[in-house]
Amino acid sequence: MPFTKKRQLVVELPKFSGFNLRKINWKWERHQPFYVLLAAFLGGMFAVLAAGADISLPKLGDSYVPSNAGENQGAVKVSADDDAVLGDSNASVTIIEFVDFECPFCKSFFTETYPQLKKDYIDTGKVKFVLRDFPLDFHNPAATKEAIAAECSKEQGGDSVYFAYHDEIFTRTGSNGKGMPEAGYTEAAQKLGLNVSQFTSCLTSEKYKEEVQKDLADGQAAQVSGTPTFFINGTPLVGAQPFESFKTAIEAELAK
Amino acid sequence: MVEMKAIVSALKLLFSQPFYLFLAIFISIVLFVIYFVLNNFSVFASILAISSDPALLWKVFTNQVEMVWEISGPVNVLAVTAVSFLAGINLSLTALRKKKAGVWVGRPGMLGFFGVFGGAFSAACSACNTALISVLGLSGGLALFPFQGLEISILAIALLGFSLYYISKSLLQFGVS
Repeated sequence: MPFTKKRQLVVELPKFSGFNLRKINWKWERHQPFYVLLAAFLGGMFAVLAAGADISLPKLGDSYVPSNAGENQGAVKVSADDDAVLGDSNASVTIIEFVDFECPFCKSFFTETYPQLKKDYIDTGKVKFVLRDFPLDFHNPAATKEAIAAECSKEQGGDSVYFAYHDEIFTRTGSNGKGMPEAGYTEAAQKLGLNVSQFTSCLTSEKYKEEVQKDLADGQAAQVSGTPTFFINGTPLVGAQPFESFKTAIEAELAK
Repeated sequence: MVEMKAIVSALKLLFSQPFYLFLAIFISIVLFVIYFVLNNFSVFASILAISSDPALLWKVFTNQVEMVWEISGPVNVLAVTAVSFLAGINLSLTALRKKKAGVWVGRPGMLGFFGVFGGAFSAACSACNTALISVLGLSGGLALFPFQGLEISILAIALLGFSLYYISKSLLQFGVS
C-alpha cells in the first residue's frame, strides 16, 4: 500500500528522533569530561562577554585605542577636559578617573586606595588626579544628582572644593543608588563654606547636567564600560585595584 | 534519606581515596580562581597589560575577593565557593567511577554540565559595569538581579547537588565502594 505524505511523516519521525537520541546518549557517556570542560569554557566566555571585557587592552604607555576603532581612525586620547584637577598641574603623570558616586567599588577605592595614592603621589607633585563623571544608568537619579552637586561646588570654590565635596559625597552616600539624604547636599555645602542658596539653585536647575553628560559620552568613546576606570597617562586600569597596582603603573611612567 | 545515604557513601569513598580527594580539592580551587578571574576579567586584563608580576596579580586577586566579600556580601563568595567545590567533587567522583567501573556518568551528568556552566558567571564583579549590554541588551549586568547574581549561584548549586546525587547513586549501582 503506497504511503501518503502524512503516513510517511508519522512513521519516519519516531525512527529519526530515536536514532538521534541513541547517538547523543552514546556520545555523552563517552565524552562527558569533554562536555564539562566545554561548559566551563562556554560559561567563561559568556562571563567575559557579560563583563564587557576588552581583551585587546593596550600595553603601558600606549595610547588607548578602542578595539572597534578600526578603519585607521587613530588613537583616542582621554582628555582631562575642563574637569577638576587635584595636584600639581605640571606633574608628569596624569590619572583620570571615571567615577560614579553611587558605585560601591568607587567608594571602596576612595576609602582604601585613594588616601595612600594622594599621600605618596599627588601631594608630592608626581601625579595629578582628574575626576570625570560616569554616572551609571542603574544608579540614577542619585548618581547624576551627586555629580551635578559636585560641579556646583566647583563653581563656587574651584577644584579644591570640588574634591572636598567629592569626599563628602563618598562619606555620606549609602551607595548602589541609595544616594545621600536630601539634607546631605546642603549640609555638605554649608560645611565647606559655600553659599547655600546659590548652591541649591545650581543643583535644582541641573545647571551642570550637560557637563556630566559630556563626561559620560567621552568615557563611552574611550570604551569605559564600568566604574571606577582609570587612565594612567592613557593606560586603562579597571576596577577598584589595590594601591600596589597604581604604584606599579605610576612608577613605570615616572621611569620613562 | 536514601538520597543522602547515597551521597554520604560516595563522599566517604572519596575521602578514603587520597588521590581523588586531592583531585577534587585541586579542581575546586582552580574553578574558584577561574570563576573570579572571569567575572572580573577587565580588572585582571588591565593589570596584566601593566605587569605580570605574580605577587601583584595575587594581591589583585585577593583584593577582589575581599572587596566582593565586603560589598556584595559574604554569601556571594560562599556561593561561588560552594559551586566550585561541588563541581570539583562531581568531576573527581566521575573520574573515580571511570577508574573503578570503567564507565562515565550518563545523562544525569548533564545537570553537572549546566551547574559548572552556571558557576562561571555567578560570581559578583568588583566593578560597577554596564555588563550584558552586548549579550542580552541589558545594562547593569548582574546588578540587575535582586541578589546580584546569587540566583545563578543557587541554581548552579542545585544542579550540581542533583548531579552529585545521580553520580553517588550510580556508584552504588555499579558496586563501587
